[in-house]
Amino acid sequence: MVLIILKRKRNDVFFKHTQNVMINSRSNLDIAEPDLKPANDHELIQRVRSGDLQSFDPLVARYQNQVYCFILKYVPVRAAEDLAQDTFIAVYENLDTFKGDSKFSTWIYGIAMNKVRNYLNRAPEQRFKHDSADYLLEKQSQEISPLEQLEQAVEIKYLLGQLPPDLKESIVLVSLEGLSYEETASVMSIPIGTVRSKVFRARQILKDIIKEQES
Amino acid sequence: MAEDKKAELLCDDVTFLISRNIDGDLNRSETIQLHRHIATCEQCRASMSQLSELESSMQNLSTVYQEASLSPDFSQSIHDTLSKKKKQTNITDKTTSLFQYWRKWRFFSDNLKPAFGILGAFVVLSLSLLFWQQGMFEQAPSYQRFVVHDIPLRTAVDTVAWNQQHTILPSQTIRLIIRESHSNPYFFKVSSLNSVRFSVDHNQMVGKTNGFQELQLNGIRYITLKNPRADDFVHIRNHGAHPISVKTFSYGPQAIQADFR
Repeated sequence: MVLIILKRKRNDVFFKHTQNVMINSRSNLDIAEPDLKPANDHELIQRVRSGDLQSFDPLVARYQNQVYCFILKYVPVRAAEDLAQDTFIAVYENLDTFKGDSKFSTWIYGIAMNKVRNYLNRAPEQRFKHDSADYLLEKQSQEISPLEQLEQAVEIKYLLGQLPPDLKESIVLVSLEGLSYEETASVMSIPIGTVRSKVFRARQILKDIIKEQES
Repeated sequence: MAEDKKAELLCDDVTFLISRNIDGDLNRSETIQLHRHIATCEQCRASMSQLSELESSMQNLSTVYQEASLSPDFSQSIHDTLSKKKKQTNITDKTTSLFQYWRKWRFFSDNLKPAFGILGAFVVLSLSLLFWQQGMFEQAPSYQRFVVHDIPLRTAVDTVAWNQQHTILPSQTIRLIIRESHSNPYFFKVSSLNSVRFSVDHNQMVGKTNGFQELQLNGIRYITLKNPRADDFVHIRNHGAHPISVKTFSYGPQAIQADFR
């Protein structure tokens, strides 16, 4: 009697095992099917939320340079990559809080902005000083881009460094990143009217400094 | 006429509009207002061209930055970091679940505190009863109490000059009878090479300050008679399978008389 039960059990186990193998092979086939259409942000975000870490890679690849360029405008090259990495890790960890009210890129900008602020709070001397690790100065020494263009860029970068941090943040987002006032307001978490006046004041200050230099 | 007055703008307002115009933030009527003012105000026209120049420099700066890019391995490094973090989080999750289990248990134990208290008290009581019956709580005699001429026993036994020495064979009894009283104590040292099994019979009072006291020190049994009087006796019977040695100390060698039975 015991032998019969044991035999039955063994058969059951064997049956289950073969079933599992079949299921696994089927799912392998599913994965192997080539994904021809590149998924949009929303689809990728949903997949990441459901625990698929692989789907985060295309999101990173899509926005990494944009975020890096944005961060470079505030911090030296040596810190920018670390901050970019911190930004994407924070993006992954806080993905559940992204409600989709704004564009995904705008939301990432907000996180990057916070990382930059934290960095500058820890090293406030980086705000005004021209660091030798500044992206523009490094480029100038490599002489890849036209020198005149670079010189002008360095000058403007220097002028931006003269602005109060909040004005600099707003004008960089609007003029350099090309965000709308609405998007900038969302990134900086301030009302849209405040963004308008901040950008205006930043421009006025820059204009005055240029005027002073010319005279 | 009133509308025209409303439409008239101050130069300060216009510079604000110029800034917004650069960013494409003006509606149709604001754009018309701006252009109407610019057409007539040279100062604002100059201001507009300055801001446009500034904006083109900004665009130039933006273009220079566009060339910056991260290494292609960047997304892979993010992936690796996140995988590591995920593993760590899994471990933390397990710890958290253990912690929750512990909290549950704590909640359970908190509610049953009185029951645990009663159970604990019962266990302590029953154990103490058991030990009491076994005699484990009886205080062991301390050699500090045995004082000979103000010298502690530990020192006294090393320096004492024993008067007599006897050997008690197995199942033999020695009768030690005091012949001379004395105000200072007499000693008996009972020892054996093997384990000692013997019984002592005496007619003295048992007490801390007076009479008969027994003490075990380094495997040797010492007996003291604090106030030895004539006709007091101590009988020691050997119950073991090996001979026992008995040494006595008294004031005068004839103070104790020994015989065997």
